[in-house]
Amino acid sequence: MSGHENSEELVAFLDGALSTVDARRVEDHLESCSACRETLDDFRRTGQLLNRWTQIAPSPGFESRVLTQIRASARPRSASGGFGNLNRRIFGSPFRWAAVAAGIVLIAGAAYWASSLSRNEEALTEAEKDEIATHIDLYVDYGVISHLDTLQPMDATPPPGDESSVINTG
Amino acid sequence: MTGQDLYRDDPDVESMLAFQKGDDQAFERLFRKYSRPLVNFAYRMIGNRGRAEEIVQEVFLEVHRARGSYLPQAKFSTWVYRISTNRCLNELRRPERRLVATEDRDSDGEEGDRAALEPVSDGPDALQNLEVKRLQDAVVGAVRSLPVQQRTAVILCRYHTMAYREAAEAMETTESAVKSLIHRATVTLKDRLKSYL
Repeated sequence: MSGHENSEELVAFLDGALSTVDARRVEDHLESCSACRETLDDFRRTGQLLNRWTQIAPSPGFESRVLTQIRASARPRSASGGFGNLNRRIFGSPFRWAAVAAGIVLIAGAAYWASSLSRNEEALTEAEKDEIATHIDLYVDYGVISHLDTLQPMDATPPPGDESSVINTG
Repeated sequence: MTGQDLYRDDPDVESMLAFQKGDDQAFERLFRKYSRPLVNFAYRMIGNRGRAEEIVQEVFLEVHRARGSYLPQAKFSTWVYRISTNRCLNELRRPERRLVATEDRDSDGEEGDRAALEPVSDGPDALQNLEVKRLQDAVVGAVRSLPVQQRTAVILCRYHTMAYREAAEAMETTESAVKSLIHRATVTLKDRLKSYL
């Protein structure tokens, strides 16, 4: 064989990663090539040096700590009968479109409910206006009147003979 | 024989299947068998023991969550190292991680090594320990300075005695790619450690 063995093949040879045929070829070459034997020896000693990086021990209590946390994180799912499983059953099945439709109906219902609440709120505001009109003198006394813009168009002129409801703007 | 049947002889796959059927002790057996090697794997990959332990916790949470869907498509060790490799590579890709990487060796990350090699007395033993420590630092520095794919291949094959094929499965690459990575890493390490050869 002419030349030297490919160094990639030498490393793979050391690691026992060559086929029987290739390993035999490298062995044959090494018998007659001192340069390749030297390279192989350097690779071998480099590999041995790596063993100087010893293992570390996990911190004290590591195993029990992690096992406890894993058990804790797993518990809610199994204890509840498995919401995760329920999710998978619903959305991973042909019923998923029914689930989506049900969601849309729920959202629409919620929107209708919210708008009816808003309407009630407006009606309540009207009632408040009547209340305010009844006790307008109190609101004037406490300076609230300046914030009640909705009262501006109201006619505050007292009926003839009724002096008690005159607005004192002075 | 299906692909899944191929791995049913692996006792760890048997344990995982037992766990799937409700045997929680089987999960604990797997955890106790693999947690320490995986902490070392992650530690060698990222250089910080605390974070390495967190990664192993995340790995086993993933194993636990796989209970319902697990199908044996590889040896259990290959599968669990694949999860760990992906987690470590993600960790190394985090931008804030790159900023602190140089600090790791001075933080708690090296405690384990340091404690194991602490000089116990003055005199010849202390000197010898110092020499051992210096050599270990050189090896750690040389391996850690390898490009990440080479480092991963070296750690799997040299420290976790994986064959190229198994390392390739764990790294989700080809056997010939691992062969090339190991070769380039070995040449680099030989050069960086030549004063110790």
